[in-house]
Amino acid sequence: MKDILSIAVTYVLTAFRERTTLFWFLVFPLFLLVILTMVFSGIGSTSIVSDVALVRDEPPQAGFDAAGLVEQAFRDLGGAGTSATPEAEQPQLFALSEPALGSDEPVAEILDTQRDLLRKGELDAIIVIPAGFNAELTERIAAGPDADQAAGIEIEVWVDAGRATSELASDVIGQVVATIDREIRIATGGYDPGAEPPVTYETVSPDEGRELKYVDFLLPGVVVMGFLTAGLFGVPGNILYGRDQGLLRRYWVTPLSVPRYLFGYTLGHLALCGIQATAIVALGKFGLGATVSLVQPATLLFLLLTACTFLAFGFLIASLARTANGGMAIANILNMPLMFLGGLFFSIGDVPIALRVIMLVNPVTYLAEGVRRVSGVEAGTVPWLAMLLVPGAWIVGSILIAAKRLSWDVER
Amino acid sequence: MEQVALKVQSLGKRYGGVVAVDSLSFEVLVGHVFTLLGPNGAGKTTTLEMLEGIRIPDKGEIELFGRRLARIDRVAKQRMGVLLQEGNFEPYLRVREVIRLFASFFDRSIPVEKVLAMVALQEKERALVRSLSGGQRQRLALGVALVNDPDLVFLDEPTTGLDPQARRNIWDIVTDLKQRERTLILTTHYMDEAEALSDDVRIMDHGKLIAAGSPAALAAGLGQETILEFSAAGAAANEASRALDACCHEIRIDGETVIAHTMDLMQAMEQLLAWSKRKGVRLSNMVVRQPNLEDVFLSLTGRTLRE
Repeated sequence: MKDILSIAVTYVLTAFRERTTLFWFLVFPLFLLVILTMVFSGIGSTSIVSDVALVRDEPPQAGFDAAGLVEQAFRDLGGAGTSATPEAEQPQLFALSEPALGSDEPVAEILDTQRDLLRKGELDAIIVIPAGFNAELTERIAAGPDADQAAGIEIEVWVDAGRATSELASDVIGQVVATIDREIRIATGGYDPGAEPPVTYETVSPDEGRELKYVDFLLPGVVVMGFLTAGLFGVPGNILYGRDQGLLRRYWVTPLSVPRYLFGYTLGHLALCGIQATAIVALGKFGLGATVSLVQPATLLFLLLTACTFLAFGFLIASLARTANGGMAIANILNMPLMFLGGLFFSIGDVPIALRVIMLVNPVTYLAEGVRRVSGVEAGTVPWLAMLLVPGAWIVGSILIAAKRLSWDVER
Repeated sequence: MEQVALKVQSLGKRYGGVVAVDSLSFEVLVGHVFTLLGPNGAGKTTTLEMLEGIRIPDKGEIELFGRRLARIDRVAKQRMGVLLQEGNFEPYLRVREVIRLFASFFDRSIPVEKVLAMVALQEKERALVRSLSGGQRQRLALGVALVNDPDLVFLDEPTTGLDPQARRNIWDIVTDLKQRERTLILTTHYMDEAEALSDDVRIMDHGKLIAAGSPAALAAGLGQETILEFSAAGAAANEASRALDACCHEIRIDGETVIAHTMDLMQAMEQLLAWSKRKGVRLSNMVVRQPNLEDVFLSLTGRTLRE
């Protein structure tokens, strides 16, 4: 056992002493976490089209229909088919659906159905125009500038906190409602720049009591990305360099066998992944205010599956390349689609069919969602079995190919 | 009767259609330094790799300290120490850590301090491998090869590329091991090294053994011949060699140096000096000596050891 532990300790020691390895293992994921959190937290994006449902709990009225005006404003911004006067040049912010329109179903039931869709990730937000909206607004207009501006005329917005697209949608909705509110206040002579926008937010995450932020969504993604980088670049680089430079050959003239070396190597790699994940989570929690907890048995098991999948990926790459440089080239080619078509940093919505195929076979898709789901950040839509089977298949396939092809000594 | 440490019977290895080692058989006695010599491509490295456990023989049998093996296994490796011709260590490990790492691979090992003292690396124990000089790295490699206090040590070109002082340090360690009844298998490109350290020499060429014996016995195998060496400027070397044709059976010209093998030294000297006087050619660096391993090697393979 001492030989296995020595190999593991050597792996960790050398990784911490070698600057390039240290950068990619530790500095880069921490840097990425900070940058993405700073850039994307609380800022709306007009380049993403959000799936938004508008549920009207206020029947249409003859004459002045305030709720109808708000509804029309969202239709126009969404550029959706139901809009009466869509402006051709205006960028589409929402793909707006109106499930209550023309339906006899009670609004409460419609809202339940929409909340389910929001939990599953099929919707990014739900706008609810509450009952009594018209009457309150009419009253305020009639009262003129003397009206109590603090008394809110509120629109409910349901979001899946922690999911990036949902948060982006809620930000944009908030800005739209604030604009409508400001116009009404200006029209009624009661404009107060310091007044709160009339929007209340409700969340539909499994943990109803927790307020999730973008960093909570991002944190598991960065941990998974760290494991991906470590496996994809670290493992083949390490093994092929060791083989080509004769480091491994020195081992093979001792009683150390390849399986025992691999056992020690795997242990060292997992230890390093553990250190990396601890650093990322610590920064996320104490530096960026994340509330998501990754230290729970199910999450840790999923993280272990993640680290093992990318470790196997590393062995696969090492078996396909002839030299360390060749290994790095293959890793670079695989890195981009794996990282950006796996939902590591953002939820992936509608993508072309070819990219969807990559997403479906990409283990990152399942591992990132799995880690988020078991840590309560995201409801998710992928079946549990698929989340275990797809990465499992990659592990088995990679190990089989590596066992057949990988040479542990310099070719002659 | 002397004990046999290693016995090799009909050992063979092919790479594709090329026979690298062809039915090799030999014995290595306990406490001996056994040296394998041969030009590049002779099959020495393949032979060593099979004996070190890096490559699996296609055929043959190995008997190590009385255990018969088709290939070197983990148990056998417990008693072996190997200094590879090529191979690096983790550049970001410290000297002490490298020794401790390799010690962990064996059931028994000697204390790190003792290994450091054996290879005179005490002052470098905390240095990273990447900061070591070539000689220090080689001493570290030797220390790693000795970390399990092996009964059989393989030294594959242990002094190649080292300065004279570093070479001398390695020789001292080998001499010490020999005095402690350790068995050593050596390959080298330095004939003086082979002559100084070896008890038993095998010369290989084209995958086969072509000569065997102690350095002295091999040299004696060339018969009662004497070697006459001298220098003559310019084209005179060629003319001088022609003057010696009648009384020398082998003459080689290396630049301005003539090396002539003769069975009748007196006649060769007379002819050479007469020619020199007649032509007015000045001869220099004249040496008369007995054949050495280099001459044996050259005579058997037609090449010098470093070719």
